[in-house]
Amino acid sequence: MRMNVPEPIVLAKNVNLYVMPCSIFKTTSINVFIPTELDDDYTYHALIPNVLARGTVSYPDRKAIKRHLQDLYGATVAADVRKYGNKQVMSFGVGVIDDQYIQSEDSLLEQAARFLRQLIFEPTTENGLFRQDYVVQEAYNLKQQILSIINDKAEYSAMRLNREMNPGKVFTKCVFGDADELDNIDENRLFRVYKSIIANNPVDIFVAGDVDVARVTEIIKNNLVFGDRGSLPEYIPEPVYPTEVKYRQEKMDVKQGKLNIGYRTNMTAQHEDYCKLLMFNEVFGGGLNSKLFMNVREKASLCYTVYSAVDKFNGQLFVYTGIETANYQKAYDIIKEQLQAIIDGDISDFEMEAAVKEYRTRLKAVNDSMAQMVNFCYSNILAGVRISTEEQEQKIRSVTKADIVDIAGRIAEDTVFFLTNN
Amino acid sequence: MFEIKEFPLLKETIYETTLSNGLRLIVIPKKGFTKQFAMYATDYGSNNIRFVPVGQTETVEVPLGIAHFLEHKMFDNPNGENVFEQFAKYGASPNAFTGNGMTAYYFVSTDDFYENLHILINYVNSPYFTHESVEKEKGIIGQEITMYDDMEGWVIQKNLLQALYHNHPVRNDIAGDIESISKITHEMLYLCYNNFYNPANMVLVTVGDIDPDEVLEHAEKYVAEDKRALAVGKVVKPVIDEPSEIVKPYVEAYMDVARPIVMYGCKDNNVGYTGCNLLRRRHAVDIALELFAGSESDFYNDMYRAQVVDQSFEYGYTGETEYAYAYFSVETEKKDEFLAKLKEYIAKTKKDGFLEESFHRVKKSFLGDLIRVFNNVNSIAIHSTYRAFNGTTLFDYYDVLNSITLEDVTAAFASLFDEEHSAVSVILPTVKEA
Repeated sequence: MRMNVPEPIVLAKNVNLYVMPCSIFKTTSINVFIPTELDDDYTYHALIPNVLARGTVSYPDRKAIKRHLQDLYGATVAADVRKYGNKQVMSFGVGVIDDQYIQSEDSLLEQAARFLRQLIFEPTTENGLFRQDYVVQEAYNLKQQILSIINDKAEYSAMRLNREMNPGKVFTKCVFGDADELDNIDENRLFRVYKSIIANNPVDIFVAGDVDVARVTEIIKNNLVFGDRGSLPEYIPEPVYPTEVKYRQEKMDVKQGKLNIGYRTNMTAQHEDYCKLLMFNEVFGGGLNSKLFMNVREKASLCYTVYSAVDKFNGQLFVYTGIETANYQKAYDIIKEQLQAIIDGDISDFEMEAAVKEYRTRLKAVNDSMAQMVNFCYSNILAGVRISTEEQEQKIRSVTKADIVDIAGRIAEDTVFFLTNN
Repeated sequence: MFEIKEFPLLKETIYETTLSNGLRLIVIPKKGFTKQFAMYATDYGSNNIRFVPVGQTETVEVPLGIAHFLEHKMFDNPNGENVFEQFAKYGASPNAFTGNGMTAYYFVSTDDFYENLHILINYVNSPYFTHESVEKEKGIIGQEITMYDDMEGWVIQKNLLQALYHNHPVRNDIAGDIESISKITHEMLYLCYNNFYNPANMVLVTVGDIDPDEVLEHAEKYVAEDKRALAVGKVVKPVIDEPSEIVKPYVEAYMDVARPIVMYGCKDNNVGYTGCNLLRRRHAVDIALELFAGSESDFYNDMYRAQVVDQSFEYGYTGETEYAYAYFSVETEKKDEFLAKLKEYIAKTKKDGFLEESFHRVKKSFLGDLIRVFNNVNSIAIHSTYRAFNGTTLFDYYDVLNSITLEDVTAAFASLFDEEHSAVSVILPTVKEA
């Protein structure tokens, strides 16, 4: 089975529905994405989904919501924010068992769409605003969530590298908002921001499962009514050409050090050489047979975790490792040697073949997961590209060793961040 | 010949048989899926540090973390070619994991399934351990252990288990510790391998758009290439003498975390279940915990409103034949209030029981969770492997779930918690010098 990029069904101006019929799944999912800018309201954006998830007019508290979801055979619901490039995206999703597997009088799919409508459009209110106790509790919890990022040393050190590399840049803002601002949430503003986003921001709706396009379209049209609206400006990051490498470190009470390196590729998903960059990354540190895995881990025994990843929105590439702090220089030198080796053309036939095949397998496997299918499609839409997994696979196959050498020569080390101990 | 189990409601079928060498084979066809998944696993995990080798009478003891160490070293091959390289030729991604009771090797492929299956069976059947390769691995595993030492969720659980268990190896990290792995030798790896990696102790599970007869034919061919000279017989796993009492009621540690984290755990001495009875016990407790602490419960909602708990709140139950425990954990500034209220609500629930309608709703949602498993090739294989070692199948869950009554759940809850067998594990933020 192959997934093509579904043609959008235009429900209103800048309100698009994408239906992905796939008979292999026993559940159906509906996802609504509403992108916003990481602007002065970003803390408010992050708070809104959490407050909405506390109660609707019909199901005014979490207990009522949960009971309803259990009645729908344990429907899954998520309301949160995610970051794609410079956009903060509100995401509302519901997943239900496909109607053919349960005996229910009322279609679960229709009930799922109805619940999503209630979640997004019909919050429980008092005096024309969100319930105050919900706002206060959710603001407090969101603040705790932000402060707790420090608990996960891998996530924290990745965030620190990105910020040191891009001081003041909007896209490095925390997707959950600003911790201090959450102490003083203006309830009027919160409701105003909510109303404005629901009315004015673009909306993309994805339905995946064993569904009929016409029927799904009807169900969505009847429940998720978004009017005409404008679009957000496309994100085109400015290229950055570092003149010298920045070295930063932080000391914490940790047993393992995290050595992370950020590089400039200045190639986003729209770049003509993007697929070449992906293959460079596989050879460098993306795969199990990559130079970083083989040399830093398997040969030098310096770490358990070592890999590299491409940031397709901002034109960056990162290397992440967990090492004994005393091995900083050794690990750093070996990582640099691996990049240099590729620049020097040292890529074996095996490395090349492994890179292409491993990546193809991961790409094809996207079709076996609804969440991955939706994310592949939606993140590409935000990145300004329209490509199916199959088309991408074709492009990957045509990448040559010379292409990878060329890419390696165009990548510039920018910042090294080291999380170490006292 | 396959034994065929059908589940018409879900339109799923499980094919099961035993190969001529004694290896159990389970095939679950998933028409239309792109991925194939094969898992070759042994009924041997981090808990099996004491055993009576096949054909012997004396119990031997090996260092903590050896099952996990062995898993890492299976990826070396006698011909010097790395296992990753072999799979890479067919684009498959291999991986492995070690649990308390099992070790599993698997791959995900989208093409050339049988070539990949051949590699999987062949490499797990071809141990190759040397002094040099064992010493070299100590650096890598050392960093894996250190990584976990910095993960607060991992540390708090380990500390809890050390407070609950005197002797059972579940009290230790799966990977062992830096000191224990330093003692591991290649001879020890062979000893463990030879006793636990024989066909009678293993299972092969394959899931994907594949034909059971073809899988059988290929698997028979591949296991016939087995050149190992394994002792015939079954390794004996001695019963572990674990008293019902806990070790200590409180344990704390300091880490660089944002706020205190508290975990309350209760040692469940109602153990010894196997097969469907174990499944039944486990799910009766799961339903009880969902009713008591799930997002529709009074406890969760009252504590959430009082800002004692938030989205970091977790609870769960581990129920195995030899050991079982339940836990609740949360990141909170109000840990004392959390513990006091938890005990108060437990006592109240023991007295009042659960509502019939809530019980039926939770059962309904658990059924949904079961159906959801069949969406994912990886989860089907992992669940099936685990179930195979427990003498059940993925389908048994349905009947077991249907048979659980409100009385079972109430009884399970009542028997689970008592002050004497509970302990508290706390992580406190490191005190920063001014």
